[in-house]
Amino acid sequence: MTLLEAAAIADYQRISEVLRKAMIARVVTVSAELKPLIMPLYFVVIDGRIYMNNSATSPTVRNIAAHPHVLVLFQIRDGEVVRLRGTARYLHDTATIRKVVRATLPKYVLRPRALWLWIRHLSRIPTRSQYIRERSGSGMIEVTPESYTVTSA
Amino acid sequence: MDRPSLDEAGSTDPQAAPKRITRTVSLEDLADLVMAPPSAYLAYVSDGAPQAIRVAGRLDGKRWMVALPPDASIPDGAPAVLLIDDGEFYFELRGVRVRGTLHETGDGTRELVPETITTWDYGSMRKVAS
Repeated sequence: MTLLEAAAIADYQRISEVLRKAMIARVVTVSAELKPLIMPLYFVVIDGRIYMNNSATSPTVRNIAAHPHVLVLFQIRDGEVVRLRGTARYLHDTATIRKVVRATLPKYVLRPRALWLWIRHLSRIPTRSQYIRERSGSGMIEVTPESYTVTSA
Repeated sequence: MDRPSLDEAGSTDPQAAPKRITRTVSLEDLADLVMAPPSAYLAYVSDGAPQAIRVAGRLDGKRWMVALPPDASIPDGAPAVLLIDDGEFYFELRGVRVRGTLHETGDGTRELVPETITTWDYGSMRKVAS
């Protein structure tokens, strides 16, 4: 094994660990007027692509339509930061939404701390349901990675 | 005499006015977060591409101060967005996003002069009058 291959494998392992442990993706996009935007979103990784739920009317989705090249940052608390550059598109077909929701549940809902927070905020669940209904046209941002880099925090 | 106009809910009772849900809070509600953030990111555009770096950013009085890493090169007056957020699970997510322009202060730090400030705290989600 060459040093370069070993380094590539080491980086792959670090990237995989961060993607597995990180809970929030910070998505950086550029508007049609060349203004930046950064948005924290939940994410899941399916078949090497990143998926994030977002409303069709969100500024991030608007920006992706104008400039599909995005930067996504993943960080474990006080740990390394993985920077992913890739191409994004917005999908709202039922199959994609189902696939992403299925992957989202064990990560963000069926966890002891998440369930404890749901119980603690039980009285807010109808409010949350209405909040989701008010957000029109939910869909998924799909990012196909083109490059990864790892930087220390 | 004209009939009084009805709101969307078909009522003239202000108590029954249509409600929407908000997660917006005041900066005072986020004081602990914005004055000593666990992490902050600054997004900007370079050569038409999105960029972001971790920064030391905080609210100092009414000024949004940002200390850039030594190797960061962002022109004076550049549009930028500061993100300070915290939490992992739904009802603990909170944060602030400041969109504005970045300006030299002369002491090595930069000031982000805000155009818009967006706050959220999912644990404070509530109904408000539309």
